[in-house]
Amino acid sequence: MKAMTYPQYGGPEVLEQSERPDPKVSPGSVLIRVKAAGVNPVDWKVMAGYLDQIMDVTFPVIPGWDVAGVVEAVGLDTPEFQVGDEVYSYGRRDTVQGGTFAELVALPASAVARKPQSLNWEQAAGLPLTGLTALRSLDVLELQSGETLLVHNGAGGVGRAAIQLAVHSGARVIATASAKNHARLRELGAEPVEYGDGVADRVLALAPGGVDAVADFAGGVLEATLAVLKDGGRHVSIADGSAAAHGGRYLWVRPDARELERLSGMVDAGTLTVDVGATFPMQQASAAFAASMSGHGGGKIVLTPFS
Amino acid sequence: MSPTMKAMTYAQYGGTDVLSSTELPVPKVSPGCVLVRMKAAGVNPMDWKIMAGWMDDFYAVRFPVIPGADVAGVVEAVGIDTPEFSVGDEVYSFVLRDTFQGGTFAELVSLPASMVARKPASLSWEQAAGLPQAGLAALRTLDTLALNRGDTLLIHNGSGGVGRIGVQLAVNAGIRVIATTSPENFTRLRELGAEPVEYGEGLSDRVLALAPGGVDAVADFIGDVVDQTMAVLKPAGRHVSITDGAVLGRGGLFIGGRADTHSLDRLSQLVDAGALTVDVAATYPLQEVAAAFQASMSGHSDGKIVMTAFTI
Repeated sequence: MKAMTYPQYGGPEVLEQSERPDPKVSPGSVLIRVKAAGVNPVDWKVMAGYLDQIMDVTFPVIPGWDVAGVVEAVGLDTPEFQVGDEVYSYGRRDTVQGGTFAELVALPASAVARKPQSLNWEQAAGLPLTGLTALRSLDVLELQSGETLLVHNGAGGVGRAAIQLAVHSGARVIATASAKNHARLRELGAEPVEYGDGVADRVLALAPGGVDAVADFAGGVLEATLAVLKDGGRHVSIADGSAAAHGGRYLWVRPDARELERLSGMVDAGTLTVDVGATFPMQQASAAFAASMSGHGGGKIVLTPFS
Repeated sequence: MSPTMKAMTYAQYGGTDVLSSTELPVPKVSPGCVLVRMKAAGVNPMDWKIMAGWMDDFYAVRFPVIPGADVAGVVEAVGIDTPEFSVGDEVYSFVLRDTFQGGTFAELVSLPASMVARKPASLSWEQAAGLPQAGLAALRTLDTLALNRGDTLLIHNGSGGVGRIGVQLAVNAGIRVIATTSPENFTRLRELGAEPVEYGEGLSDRVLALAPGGVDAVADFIGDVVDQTMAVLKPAGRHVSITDGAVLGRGGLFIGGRADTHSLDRLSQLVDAGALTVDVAATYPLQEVAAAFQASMSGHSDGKIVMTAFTI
């Protein structure tokens, strides 16, 4: 099969198109023909070697953890799925190697769920990592209806999902973003504020008593978090390990079919949608990574099959 | 320099001669994972079948491979966002990945928390290490067969690792169990609550002598017995195999391995409630994996073969 691979750590220049053997399908796994694969910042962070301390890597690596596609084959004992099923998955494994930026990917059924019917392939491929992360964040925060949540980086993939889920649960959401994304965040139900210098003051201007909970999807904002959080408030970060030393929780999303099913239910109920910012054919993964690195937060960047 | 550990590895497919003791980097601990210091690691036939290359159509391997899938041990480190476990917890696991590389026949193994559970308090390290793969296979088998109290189940190879667990789980659920084995294991299978019959030629007649109308279900834990299965199964009976894909063409289901905390917790509860125990036949220090595999290959099943920590 065709796949994008990198033979060593580096920047977008180490990505190349390769021919790789089709993945094997173990008894509890499914082989998925990739219709779309979401790009997440963690993909190029892993490629750069930033996560080398916590992840074993076997080169050449096929990057990518998000996928939406069609079941091409099932393992010997995989009653959950049949050939032809439309599915999606967050497929991180504890050794980095066989990712989703390829024609085919094999994933354990325990990480695969039916694709939300109301999303197209590109939207569905943009949901797993971000949606599961948002879900885990709000579950850990135990956000209640009527509480106020601050979301750092509300315009990123995780941020947009978290805003929608929190608003649906009846929370008030203040979200940091650059000015060009404020209109969209308002549509999603959040009160946008500009990030950067003075962000704590701007948040406290909207919520003078402070906020009940903070979800940090940006990193480097712990000081602002602590400045606006009420006494006894809860906070999580997906980007800042130091949160744990200040009463917060450092979160890392896990593959989980059941949680994906929850997301699908929310999407098909109209609670949650996915904004796709740009698509690139698979062979242009390095351009997609460069766009992701620029951090403009204009919606998910998604790869489509080799053209 | 990253820290290293001792591990048994093989660098190519083959027999027990390809195994050697190696120094490897300590596995990294990903988010959601735990690093476990091995106290004991169960041997399963799948370990040497993978090593022989027999599973190459289904599983990717990356050499050098550390074999082993079952482990009991102590949590040495936890990854980011792994609230289920703390350093010092006594745990056990069946690790099943779609690529075989980092197994349990090593001083340390890194495992996703989703495949790890607390060790049953009433089992020794060696017993706990002998339970996961066999116990999970037996549990999935019985869940799939969905038998009712009073049904009759035939288990092919009742005295192997999976068989002994399957017998106990079924008996505990009120199912009548007929189990094939060799005569030296009859006594133990009777203690576990099964009616033993000798395997081999004439098996169907011996089973039908005990269950003249046939059996409601058959669990094959040995392979190459689908003709005998069909000869004793009632017309609407169900059958599964953990080792023989041929059942798929004869109305049966194949039972593959699955690894998950929830199912391990179910096993732990049965163990600590006294409904389930693990027979350990022999232990070997890790450096003697070749001898342990040879014992496993001989198929004399008087209980689990379990590895203990390196002694050299």
